[in-house]
Amino acid sequence: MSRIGVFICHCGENIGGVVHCDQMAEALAEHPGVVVSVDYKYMCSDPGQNLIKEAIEKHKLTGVVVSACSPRMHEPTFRTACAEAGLNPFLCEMANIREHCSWVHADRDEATRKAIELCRMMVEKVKNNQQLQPIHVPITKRALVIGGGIAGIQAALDIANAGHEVVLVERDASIGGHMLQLSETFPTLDCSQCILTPRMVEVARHPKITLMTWCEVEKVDGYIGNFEVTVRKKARSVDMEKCTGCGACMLKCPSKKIPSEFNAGILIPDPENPRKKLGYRTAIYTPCPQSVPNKPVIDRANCIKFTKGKCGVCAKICPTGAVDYEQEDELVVEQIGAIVVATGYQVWSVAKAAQDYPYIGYGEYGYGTHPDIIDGLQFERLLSASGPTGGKVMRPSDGKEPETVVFLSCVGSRDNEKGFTYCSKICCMYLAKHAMLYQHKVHHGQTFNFYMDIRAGGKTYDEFSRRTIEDDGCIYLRGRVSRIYPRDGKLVVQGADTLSNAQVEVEADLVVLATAMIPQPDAEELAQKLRIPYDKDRFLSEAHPKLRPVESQTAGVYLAGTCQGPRDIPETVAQASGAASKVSALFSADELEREPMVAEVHRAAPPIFSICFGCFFCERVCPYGAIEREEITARDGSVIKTVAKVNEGLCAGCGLCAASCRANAITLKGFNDEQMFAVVNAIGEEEGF
Amino acid sequence: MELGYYPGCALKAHATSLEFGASTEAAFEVLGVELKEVPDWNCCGASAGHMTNSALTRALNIRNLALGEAAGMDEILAPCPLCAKELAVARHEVREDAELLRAAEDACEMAYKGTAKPVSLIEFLHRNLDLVKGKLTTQLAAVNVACYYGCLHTRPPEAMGFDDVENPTTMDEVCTALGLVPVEWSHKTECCGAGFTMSKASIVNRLTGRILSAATAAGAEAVVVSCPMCHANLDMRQREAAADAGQDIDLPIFYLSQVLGLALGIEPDTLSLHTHFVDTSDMVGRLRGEEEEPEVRGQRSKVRSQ
Amino acid sequence: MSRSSQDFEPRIVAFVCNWCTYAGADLAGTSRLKYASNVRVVRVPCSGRVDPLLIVKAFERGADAVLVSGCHPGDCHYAEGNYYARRRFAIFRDLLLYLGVEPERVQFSWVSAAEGAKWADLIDRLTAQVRDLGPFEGYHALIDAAKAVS
Repeated sequence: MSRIGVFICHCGENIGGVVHCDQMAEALAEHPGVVVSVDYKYMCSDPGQNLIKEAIEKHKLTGVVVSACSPRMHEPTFRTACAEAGLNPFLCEMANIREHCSWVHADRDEATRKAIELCRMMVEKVKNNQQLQPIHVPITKRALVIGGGIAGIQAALDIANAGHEVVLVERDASIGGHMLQLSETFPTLDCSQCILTPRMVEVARHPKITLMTWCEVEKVDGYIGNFEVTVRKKARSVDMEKCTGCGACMLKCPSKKIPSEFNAGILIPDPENPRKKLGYRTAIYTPCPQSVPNKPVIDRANCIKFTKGKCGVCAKICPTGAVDYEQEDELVVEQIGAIVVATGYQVWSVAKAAQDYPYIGYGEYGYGTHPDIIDGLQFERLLSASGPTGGKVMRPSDGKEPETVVFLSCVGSRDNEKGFTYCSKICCMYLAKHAMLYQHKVHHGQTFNFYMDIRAGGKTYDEFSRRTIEDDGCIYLRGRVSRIYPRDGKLVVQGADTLSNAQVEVEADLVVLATAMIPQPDAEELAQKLRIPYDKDRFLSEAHPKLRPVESQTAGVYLAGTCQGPRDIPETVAQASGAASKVSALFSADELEREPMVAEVHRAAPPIFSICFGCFFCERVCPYGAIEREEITARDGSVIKTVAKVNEGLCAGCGLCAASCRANAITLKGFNDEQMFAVVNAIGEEEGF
Repeated sequence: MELGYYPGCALKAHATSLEFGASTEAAFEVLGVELKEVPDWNCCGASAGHMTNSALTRALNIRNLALGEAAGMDEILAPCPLCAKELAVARHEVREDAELLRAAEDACEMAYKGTAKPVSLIEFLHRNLDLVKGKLTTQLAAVNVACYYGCLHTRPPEAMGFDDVENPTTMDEVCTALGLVPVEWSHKTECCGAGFTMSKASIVNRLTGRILSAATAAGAEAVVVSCPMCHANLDMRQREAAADAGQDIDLPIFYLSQVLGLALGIEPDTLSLHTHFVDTSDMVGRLRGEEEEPEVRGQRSKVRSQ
Repeated sequence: MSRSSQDFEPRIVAFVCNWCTYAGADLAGTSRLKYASNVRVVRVPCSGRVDPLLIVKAFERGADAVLVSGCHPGDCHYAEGNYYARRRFAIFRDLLLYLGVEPERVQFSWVSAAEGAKWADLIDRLTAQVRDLGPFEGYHALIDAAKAVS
């Protein structure tokens, strides 16, 4: 027999000023199963809570209903109070008579009638509540970081320095990411490689970090604290144990004409030998001399041994016999407690031919048809001391030093007609840096920058872009470019200067397009593997844009860097450290406590076992993959039937399965069918509704 | 196959571009597409009308569309892009705003349901490329041509809804199907000066000069257009434009319907190729694969220069 | 429990998700927006949790209309629960239509945690709509008809 206590809060005048709380207490006292019904000025105050605690002991209550504010406000308060008095906290429910009643209705009688009914509904619910115990989940204190750019490097180092093991998976042959490709960084003009490579080496040497380059995440199973991640170790064709990184193979490799990804595909005529070009790599290669690990891989698609069956020079030349053409992809399974996603970005190729997005693009800019129209990342390589020209600015068509360089902002960004709606955030600053660095190298040169707005928000950022304009003489033209075309060995850039209201035509030697920053092409695929949401532009979504910026919607999966949206290096590093601190906080406990509002599949004694008949409709609707299959076996081991089972670690408690189950075999604890129907049944008991 | 046909003033009423009308009609006959002229069609309001009174222009075009609709036409071929644009814009506006539709219907005392819609020559040919390919009698010689779309073919994009606004390629694709080799070039949709040819020819000469020199620089030996204004300026003003650009330019200017006609085996005279200002005969010969003796060609051009 | 339609006060039962609509209704409260008192809110974790039988039960208890409201498409706390809810109710409404029930009696909407005003408007609008429709006596008529057949 239920013994329910009802506690009605006046919330000062907030409820008491509208609802007749005394009448309400009287009415509820008559409700079947209610043994105590009282009202009090402030239920959440200490004396108010004591009132509940004393009643639990005195009346041996089996359930408590607090009629007060929204459960989103004080449910934890009252559940804790109940627990302190020895009542299972999940036997406490709240009726929301403030936000849903006294604050939104003016007529006192009407509001009182409604409050009574809301309270009756919760009394009927709590009669059907069960004692629930919080779920404890063990934690594997080992983190996976996906992506070895600056975000992944920072996150891995922070987690490892907190004393936890880290597996860093990078799909390229080296860690370093886009930051390693940059020449200098704004606004301090630090040499990017000089500040990054020590971090890369630290990652490789860190005893707590397992570095897995040339590897990709294949599959993610499990849940927070208990992920099981399958990693594909792509065949490197080089034995990492034997290879010493001497580089002899790369010198001798006959496939020398592969545009280097590290150089963003830019090719420059060799001043020594005009028939040759700079910017190629070999088929057996490391992305750059600073690679970590500095051991090569074979690009099988371009290797003569793999495409034609002949060659084998690298195997012959290798002094340690490390080259292994027979190597195959390998799948390894890692036990992981938390995942940091740091997969970074790409720059949008606006060449019409290269489009694989439903965006119109900028065919009129000639990118991809004229070699002297390049993107921002390619210009970084032209400026970089580690680039194909050793940092000398030369244009791709003829190797001449460009004397007029035109920069275009917002190519694809902030353009909902032809590209993406968002701002790529870094372009204003890096174009200012480009113009500055170019001017430092080519003193007699002239730069132009077509922009929409100069977005230089950040510490010393505006000062930096002002320097480009005022000290380095870059001519900023506020307007868009309509067309770029070659004429007499120059590139004619036709645009508008909206400040002087004039059509502008600049004859340039080189044009740099600041194309939009976009997610990796397989961002969706990864998001689906991780079961995390992404936005309309395929950037991964944070759990809350303000208050949970480094967490994904899925517990135990965190985000760092540009996979979440465009941002610069300092922001990326800050976010990576934020994600790392979340992981460290998670790993600071041995077990994870979770609310027990999870689904449950019916079980009974033999011969019924379960009313689940194994249609697994629940499996299809579950967004979390929390439904497992359990075989019920006889003593001889034969399978009697296969029924559903809920993985409590994965279940988030949405109840989709419960609403879909045709046999009513699956239910949601805390919101089970008995509770829900009891609530609905209580509606309309009050005369006049 | 039947197709509504709105020739507009340029192709029919007076002689600005009789070549365009004659060649389009001849080519469509060979294609087996019967052009049914919109009965009692009126001016589309281009040039003067649309600048001064948008309600009038809208009513004029809704009347044309409603007439076509009443005659059972779903699509109305408007080869002149000025007409195509006026018709498309009027249709777009009344579909967006019921008030405007009511006003236009009241003005022309006709109802317009919106089923009849205009189609430009390029769009129609591009969409029916298989039909075109099936009727070709000769592949034209692989001559480098510059496809010049002009300003109106793709604009305004919300009304035209066809091809890339800044960098269209559909006419290039049609020309490729005919055997021509369209060049990549810069001035596909630049302004030729259009109607200023009458009031301020110096503007036209400058703009047209740029277009012609860009086509030459890109290696084109002829230009293909699909607009009476473009043709008038590039053809008629070519000598002054070349002088303005400081270049020696000799580029025959063809209507798309003319090169189509040649590929369909239609005689040059039927296509009015003899009425251009810039002589087309040499190029027509090359396109049709008629290698002539050099001296004969010299004589012919001497005859013409007299 | 037949009621005269003169002093008819509609009874509306709303099944709302905890994360968006319930919070939106809370916001209407904290904003002190006033709306019709005819609605009884039942909190569920997700609109996808709402079993159509719960709606039938609400009608049986005398509801004149039922509202199911969840997060906006793409905002579901559980990634996709609201899509299931939407599809389920599209079909359920068809079934009601087939039975001759006015489709306005079951409504579906998205109200986010930031849309207190939308919630208040929704309830006022729904109340007015149901007041025009009159009491839902059809439910009991249907039950009686079913009994007569069996």
